[in-house]
Amino acid sequence: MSSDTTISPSSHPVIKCDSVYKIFGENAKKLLQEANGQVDAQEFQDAGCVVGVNSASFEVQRGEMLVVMGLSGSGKSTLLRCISRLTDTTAGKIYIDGEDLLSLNSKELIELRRNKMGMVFQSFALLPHKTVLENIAFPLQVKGNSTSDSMKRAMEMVELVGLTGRENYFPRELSGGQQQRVGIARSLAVEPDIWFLDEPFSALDPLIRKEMQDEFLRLQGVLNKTILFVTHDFDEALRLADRIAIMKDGIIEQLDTPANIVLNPATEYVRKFTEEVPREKVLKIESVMDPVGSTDEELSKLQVSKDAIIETVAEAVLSEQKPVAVLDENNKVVGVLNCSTIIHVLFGDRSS
Amino acid sequence: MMDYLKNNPKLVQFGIVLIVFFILMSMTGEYKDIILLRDGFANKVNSGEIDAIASFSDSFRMILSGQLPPQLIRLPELNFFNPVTNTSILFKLIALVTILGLLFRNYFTTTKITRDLPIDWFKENWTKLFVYIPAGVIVGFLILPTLMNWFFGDITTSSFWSMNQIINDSAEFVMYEWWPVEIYDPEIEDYDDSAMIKEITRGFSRSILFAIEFIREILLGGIKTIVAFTSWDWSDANEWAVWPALPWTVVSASAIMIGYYLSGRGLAILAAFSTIYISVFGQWEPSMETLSFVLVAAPVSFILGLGFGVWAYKSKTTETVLMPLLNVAQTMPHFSYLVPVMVFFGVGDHAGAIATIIFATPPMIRLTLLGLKKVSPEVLDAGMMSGCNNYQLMSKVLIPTARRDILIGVNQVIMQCLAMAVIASFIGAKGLGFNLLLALNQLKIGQALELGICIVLIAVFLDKLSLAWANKQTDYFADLPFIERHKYAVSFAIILVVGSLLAILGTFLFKDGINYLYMIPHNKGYTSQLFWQSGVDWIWDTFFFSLQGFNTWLIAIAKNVHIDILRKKKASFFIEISDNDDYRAYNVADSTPSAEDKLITEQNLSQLLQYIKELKPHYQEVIQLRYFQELSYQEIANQLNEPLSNVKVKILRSKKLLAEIIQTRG
Repeated sequence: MSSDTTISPSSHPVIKCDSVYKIFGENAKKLLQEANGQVDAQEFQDAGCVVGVNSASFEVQRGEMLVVMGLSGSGKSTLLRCISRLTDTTAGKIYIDGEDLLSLNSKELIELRRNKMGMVFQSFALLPHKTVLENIAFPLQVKGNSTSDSMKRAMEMVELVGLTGRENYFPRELSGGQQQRVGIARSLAVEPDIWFLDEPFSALDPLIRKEMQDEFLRLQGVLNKTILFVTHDFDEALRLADRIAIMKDGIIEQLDTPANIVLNPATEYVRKFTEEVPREKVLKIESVMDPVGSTDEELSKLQVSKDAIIETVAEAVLSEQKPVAVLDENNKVVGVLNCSTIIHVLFGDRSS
Repeated sequence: MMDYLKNNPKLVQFGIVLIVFFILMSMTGEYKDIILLRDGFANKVNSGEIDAIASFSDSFRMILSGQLPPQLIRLPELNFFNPVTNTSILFKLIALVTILGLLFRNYFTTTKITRDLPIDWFKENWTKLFVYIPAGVIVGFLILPTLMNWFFGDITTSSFWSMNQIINDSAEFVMYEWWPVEIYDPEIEDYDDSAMIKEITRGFSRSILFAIEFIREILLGGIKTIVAFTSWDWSDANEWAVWPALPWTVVSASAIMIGYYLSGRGLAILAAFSTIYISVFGQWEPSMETLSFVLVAAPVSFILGLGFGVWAYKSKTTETVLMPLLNVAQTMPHFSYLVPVMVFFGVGDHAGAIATIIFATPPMIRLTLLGLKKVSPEVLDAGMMSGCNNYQLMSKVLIPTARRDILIGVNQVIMQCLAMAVIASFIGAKGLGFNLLLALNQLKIGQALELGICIVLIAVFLDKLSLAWANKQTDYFADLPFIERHKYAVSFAIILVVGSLLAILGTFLFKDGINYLYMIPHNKGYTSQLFWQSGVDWIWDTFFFSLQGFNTWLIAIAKNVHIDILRKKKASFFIEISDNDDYRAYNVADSTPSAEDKLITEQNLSQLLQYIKELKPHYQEVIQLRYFQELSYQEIANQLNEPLSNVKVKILRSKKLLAEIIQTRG
């Protein structure tokens, strides 16, 4: 409680979900009341209802990227649609910038969407009758901006996503990757605070997907938005996320940083995902180092940052014979890294 | 009940189809006095035979005891259905089963998930009996006996079987007697009795007619629009106040320009070809009349179709109600609309336009609905997330995305409008259709063909134009000077001025009173009539006997079949054959002449010969050869040693002269 009162405005959560339920079916509300918060998916299914989201509670801070990961039917897209209020939640509270989303009337909701939200869709969802430029300018024109202003802004967005020279093409004349660039540009045209991405790269082939992920990271580096990213691809989640929420049957199984999820899977279901993940590509030095003074051996001259990903420094560390010092941002030694640790991470007990 | 119908839309649809069919069927039937039926009951009340009104509990008790409450009887609309009550044991059982059925159905649907015990459920919901018991009583004691009476009762008393009659009467009643109002009539400067519905439909007719006349007078000139804003007196006093027609050169050049602006050279060429063809063949006036008719009917159909399509997309109930209506509207033959439209809206261009709108709207509704349903839900979401309000979502996201299907709808509307051009002429629509009808009636094949091509050209041009318009792109970064930006408006102004000047010039140029640069009248255009007519004549000349033989054979069969049917009818004892039927039977078409016929023919023939003798000798000669010796054109040409075309012209002229002589003498 005390932490709540001392919270500073800057660390105020942008998105806050408080036990959000989404249950499809006729008697959903009544059943949920009777269940008293303890929702059993099987029981509800027998009663003719489908559980979409089951008691989701989390917060997303400003500038943070939360990736919601789950297989199809796990309710991840439903959760996203609840937070963007494309569907109405059955129960629970959602706050956007401290504002109760579910209590907004339609006019306020439209204002919120026009100014604070942008969304990217799996199948791009471009308007087929509009050119690239018109598609990107669409949210601005809907907002009531003048044609010349919105076209100027749209042109900037075309440049940002690297589609210069194609602004007068129709969506049908573009490749999938290019279409999704248009989708991204459109969602960013109004400079939203919150950026929803619903499996944006799932419909693309692997090479383009990689390219688009890089592009996405570049954009996020420039724009630093608050992001809710939905994907079914665990590698993608690990690559992009600040934190990952893994969902199954509408329940968030675990919500944590990529490293923690790989190191300490909370449930059996999460463990299954993490088993095949190459740890050296995910984990930072910090999460495997030993404390200072744990070894008597002389430290090598090589020093590594605690935030480095293991893979990037593994070769250098292994070529040293001695343990390596680990530094934090202030160049203070905070730990020691043994070769054996690295070897353990790289080739360790994967079978066990 | 409502829920049940909602869950079973097929039932509602079936009901609607039945009702609409009955209405439309009956509209084409005969009229009889509506008042008889209603007054029968009014008399009963007046004579004290039945009470004027009974309280609620009394009427309920009356139904329970097998009587009809008086207010039910006094409702004239209800009496058309001839309600009957019956409280025998069978119907008591049916009422009970109905109540229990409703109860159990409700129990099972509401407890599908919660699975309450029946007794618990009943404790909570026993108030539902207040609805179900009356429902059961009405169904069991009133509705079912009435239906039984309709279908199995005495046919002569069951009003169901005279339904078409009743609906006919109702329509007449609604149009002319129901809801009397006093309307100020400026002609007689006094108030006049009228019926509200009639005034409403007439008002609607007038506004449609005004729109048609307005467009027509922009294209063809006239005085009615000016009169509409002033008065006949004023326009009589000021002779200058006549709106001049747009010269055909201006309309043609504008069409070419619009075609070029929207779609480029191809459409411009089509526009040029169509307008010049129409003008050269002297069909300008009827074509513009048809165009003005289409320019009203098509947009109205489009807007109605789009509106209803959107409504049906938004509301499931509307869709359920609309679908059977559309089925009926689309399967009904075109001609069957004409009578009801005539009854409600009168005769004229507006009636034609309304019949056309009724026919052209259903495909538009269907295609709009189809297109909207095909829009992917993600596009809808994208629109919502872009911050569209409901209107923007519909007008900027859904309709444009569904544009492909909607454009097919527009195409259908335009095609239907022009397809109806001929049929609408049956109820007074002027234009190409009317002329086509006349040409066909007079067997002027060539003229009919020319008119048909005019209709096709207008249809194709309008269709391509609407398509091009919908696909027109905007260039946002073009920074053009004023003249460039408005070059088409400027061009139009120039076209208007130049065309008008040409037309004025034409008045000096053409001395015979016909200004070919203003408007080419019907009989001064080029026509290929002669060519086609001689083709038809050739077919008759060459195949006359074989065709005639086929004709005689067909007529003989038809005659025998008809006589057979009449004999069979006579054999059945309950149908009496009147003199009229006999007369009809013996009056069946017969190509073999009777003795009287021969006498008449001979008399006529001698008269005809007299007339022929009044012609000049060389005309007499060709007539003689062609119609008395029955030679073919070629044979006549050989005999007279003249070219074939000369012979044809001669025969045509001699026929015309002969016709004039007969008309003046006869």
